[in-house]
Amino acid sequence: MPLPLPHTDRRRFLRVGGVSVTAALAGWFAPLARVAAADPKRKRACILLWMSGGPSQTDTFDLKPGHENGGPFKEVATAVPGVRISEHLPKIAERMKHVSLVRSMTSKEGDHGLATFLARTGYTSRGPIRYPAIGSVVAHQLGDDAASLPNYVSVAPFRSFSPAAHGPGFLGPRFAPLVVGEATFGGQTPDADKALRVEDLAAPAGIPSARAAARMELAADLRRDFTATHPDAVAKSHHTAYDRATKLMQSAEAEALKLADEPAKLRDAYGRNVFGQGCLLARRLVEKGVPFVEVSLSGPNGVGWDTHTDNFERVKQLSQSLDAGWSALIDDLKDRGLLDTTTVVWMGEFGRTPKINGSSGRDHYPTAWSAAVGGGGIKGGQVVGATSKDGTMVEKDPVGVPAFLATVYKAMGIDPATHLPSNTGRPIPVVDTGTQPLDALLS
Amino acid sequence: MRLTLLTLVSLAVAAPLSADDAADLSARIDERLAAKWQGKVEPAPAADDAEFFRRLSLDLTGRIPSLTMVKDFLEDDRPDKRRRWADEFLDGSDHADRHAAHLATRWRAVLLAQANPQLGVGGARLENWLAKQFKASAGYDKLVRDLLTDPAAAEFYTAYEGKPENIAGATARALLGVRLECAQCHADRSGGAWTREQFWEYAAFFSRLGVPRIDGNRVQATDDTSDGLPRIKLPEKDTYISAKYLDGSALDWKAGSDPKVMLGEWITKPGNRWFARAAVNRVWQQFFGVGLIDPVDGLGSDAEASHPELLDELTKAFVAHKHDLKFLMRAIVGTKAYQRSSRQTHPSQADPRVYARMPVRAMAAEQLFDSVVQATGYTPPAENTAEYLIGPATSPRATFLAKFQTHPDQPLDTATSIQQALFLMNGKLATTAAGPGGQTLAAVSDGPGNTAEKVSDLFLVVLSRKPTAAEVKKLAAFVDAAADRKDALADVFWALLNSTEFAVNH
Repeated sequence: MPLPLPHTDRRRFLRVGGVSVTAALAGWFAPLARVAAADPKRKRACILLWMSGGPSQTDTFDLKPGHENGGPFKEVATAVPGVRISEHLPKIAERMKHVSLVRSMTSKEGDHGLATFLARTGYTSRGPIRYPAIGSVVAHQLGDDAASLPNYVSVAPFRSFSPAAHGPGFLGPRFAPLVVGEATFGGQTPDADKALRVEDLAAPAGIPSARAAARMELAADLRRDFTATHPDAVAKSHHTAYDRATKLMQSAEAEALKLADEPAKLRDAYGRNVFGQGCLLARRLVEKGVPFVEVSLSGPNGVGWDTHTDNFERVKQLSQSLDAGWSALIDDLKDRGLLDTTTVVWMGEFGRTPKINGSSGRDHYPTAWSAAVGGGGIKGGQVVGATSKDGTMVEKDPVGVPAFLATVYKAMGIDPATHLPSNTGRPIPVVDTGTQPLDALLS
Repeated sequence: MRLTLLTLVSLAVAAPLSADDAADLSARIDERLAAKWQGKVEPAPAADDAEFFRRLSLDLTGRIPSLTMVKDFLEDDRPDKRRRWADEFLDGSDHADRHAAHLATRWRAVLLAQANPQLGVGGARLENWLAKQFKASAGYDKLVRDLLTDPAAAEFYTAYEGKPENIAGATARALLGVRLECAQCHADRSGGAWTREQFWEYAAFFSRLGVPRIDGNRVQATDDTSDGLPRIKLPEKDTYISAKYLDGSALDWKAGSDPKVMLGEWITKPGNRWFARAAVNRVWQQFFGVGLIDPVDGLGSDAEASHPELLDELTKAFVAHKHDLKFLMRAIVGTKAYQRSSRQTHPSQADPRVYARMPVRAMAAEQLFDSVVQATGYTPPAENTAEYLIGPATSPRATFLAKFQTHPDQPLDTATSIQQALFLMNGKLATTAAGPGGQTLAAVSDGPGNTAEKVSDLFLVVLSRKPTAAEVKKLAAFVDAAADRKDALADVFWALLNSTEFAVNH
C-alpha cells in the first residue's frame, strides 16, 4: 500500500490559528510566549532527554544504600516526601513534583543496538517492518507540514548504536529528524556553540547572500516550470522539500536554532555544555511549535553512559550536566507556560548491572532499570514499580518499553492504538496492540 | 495446482523464437493498454528524443547519459535509433557491465528490502554476485536457483540472520510476489490469504541452513538437523511442521536431498503459479513505476491486475523466452507506452495505471548519486568494501546513499526531505561541483562558445536536453548581466543540479 503523501490530520486544522499567532510574533520574549501558551488549542510537544549508552539506575534514581551493590553515592530526599534519589541530582530533587519515576522498567535487549531500537521505537527490530522512531511518529501525528521548522529535531544524537532507531522508518524521509550537532565515536567539541549546528543549513562560505538568493531563485523557477506540467507526488514532494529548506535557510524561524540572543544568565543555568545548551535549544524549538525535540547526553566520548569502567566518576560528571540542563529546562518551560503542554522524558536503552564489576564499572542490564517522565499530560512526583533490595529484580509492577512509550504518547494526546501505514502494507499501531499506558502517571 | 506433463511439454516447445518477438510483444502491449481506454483517455504525446534517451539511460544503466552520448543520440538520424540504443545499453560491450551493475543494485535492494538494517549487512557481496549473473545473462530462473544454493550468494541468508521465518518472508515476497509473513503469527487468516501452517511449511525449507543466529546476547540453535523431510519447530511450542510447497503439493523427498535445491526447482519450474508473473510484474514496475498488480507483492492477495490478459501474455512470453529478462526489458522499452512524454497534457493521464503518460518516478539513491557524478565530473574516492559497515557511513557515496535511501517498491511515493534538499544545495557535493574545482563546470566555462552555447551545454550535461528558447534567453541574460560571468554560469549549473527535473526519472 503506498503511503499517502498529503498527510491530513484534523488536529492540524484546529491548530492553525495558534500557530499563526506564534509566527506573527517575531520574537520569543516571555510575555508574548505566554500569550501563545495560554491558547487552549496550543499543541502538545515532547522533549526526549536521551541517555545514550544506558544510564546506571543504581546511581541515579533507584539507589540501594546499605547494599554492596549500592556503590558510594548517597541517597537524598526530594521535594516529594518518600522519594529519594542520587545526591548528584540535587536540582532535580528540588523539582521532583514535576518528575515521575518508573523504577521497574524491564526488557530482554542487552545489546546497545537492539535495545536502542526497542527503546526508541517501541518494537523489537527483527522482522521486515521498518519501525519509525518515536520522534518521527510524533512528527507524523502532530507535525505541521506548512511550518518552516522541521517537526522532529534531534540534538547531538549519537546514532552509531542504531542508525535505524533514529530514523523515520516506513514513514519516509518527510518525517526524518533535522539533526543538530551529530555526535560520533570520540565525541564532539565541548564548545556547545560550535557543536550545535544544523548540517548544511548555511549557504557555502564564499557565496554572498545576494548571490545565494539569486541562484536559489533560478532553481525555484526551474522547479516551478517542471512541476506545473508534472503534477506527480514525487515531483511535488521534491518541490515542497526545497521550498521548506529554502524557507528555513532564509527565515527568522531558523533563528530558533541560534542561542546567542538568550540571556547569559539563563545560558549559564542550563550549563555551558552541549547537553545543557541542547536543552535550551529544545525549549526554543518547542516554543516555535516543533512537536518533538530530543537532546542526547552522550558525554565527552560519545558513548556517554556506557560505564563498563570507572562508573562512579563518570556518572557523577554526567549527572552534573544532566541535573543543570534538565532542571533549567523544567523551570524555563514552566516560566513560559509551556510545561503543561510539553512532556519531558528521560531514558536510555537499558540500565546497568547492580553488581559492580572488577573495573569499578557496571555492565549492560535490561532486566530492571529506571526511566522518568514529567510535564505535559503527566502526574508528577509519582513512582511506579520497585526493584529488589539488591536491585537485580523487578519486584513490583514491571513496565515494558512499549507501555512506557504508550504513556508518553497518551500524555501528548496521541492514541497509542492509532494505526500507521507501513512498508508491508499492513497498518501498524503506534504501540503494539494490547499495550496499556500507565494510568498512574497520566494526569 | 498440479502441473501435468502435457503442460510442461507444451511450454517447453513454444513457438520458435524470432528476432522480432520483442517488437511484436511491444505492439501487443500497446494494443492491450489502448483497448482499456475505450475512447475516454487522451494519451500524452510521444517523448522527444532527449526525454526518451535520459529515461532509457536511467532505466538501463542507472545514471543519466554523458554529454557525448546525448549529443550522439540527438544527432543520430537513423529511424530506428531508439531500438538500436536500447540494444546497445542492454548488450553493447561498452554498456553491458554498467547495465548488469544497475540491475544488480536494484535486485539487491529488492532482495534485502526486508532485512534488518541493524545488522549492518550492506549487501555489497550479494550485489557483486548478482552483477556477475546478470552479465552472464543466464535465465532468471537459473539465477534464482543459484541464489538459493550458491555459497557465494550466502550474504542473502546472512542479511536475514539465517532465520527460516525471515528468509521465508523475504523469498516469498521477492521471488513469488507473495506476502506471506503476516501469516507467521495469525492462525485465523486475519494475516491475509495464508494460514499459519502454510507459512511454517514454507519456512521449513530453510530449517537446515546452519547459520548461527545471534539473538541479543544469546546464540540460538533451533535448526532441524534430521535427514528426513525438513521440518521446523513452531515458536514456543513443541510441535514440528514439515515442509510442503506453497501450492499444497508434497515433496518428493529422498534422504540426502537438499531442501533449498528442491525449493528452487519448485519455485522456478514453468507452471509455478507465481514465479514468472512476479518477475514480469516487478520488471514492469521497474519501468512504469507501478506493477500490473499493485503492490508488487500482492500476487497472493485480492489485489487484481489492472490488465489481467496483458500480464498473462507477458508471463507466457517470458517463460517461452527462457526467463530472459533482457527480452522482457527490450519489449517494454520498445512500447509506445514507455516512450510517451511525462508531461501531462490531459487530466485522463493522471492515473499511472492507465499508462497514458509516463509518471514521474523517484530515482533510487544510487541512480541519483551516479547521475550527480555523471553531471558534475566529480570523482568519488574508492569505496570501503568492508563486509559489515557498522554505524553511520563514511565514504561520500555511502553517506549519500544513507541520506537518500529509498524503497524499491515505492518509486511513485518517495518523498524528499528538508535535509536532503539542504544537502544538495549547501553540502560538499554541490559546493565542490559548482565551485572552482568542478570538472564539468570548468570544461564548459573555459571552453569555446558564447554564453547561449554554454548555457545550452550545461542543460545537456545536467538535464540531458537542450534548453528551450525562453530558457536560453533568460539564463544567458542572467549570465551576461552578472559582474562575474564565470560565477553566474556556476550559479546556472547549481540551479540545474537543484532542479526537480534533474532529481527525478521522468
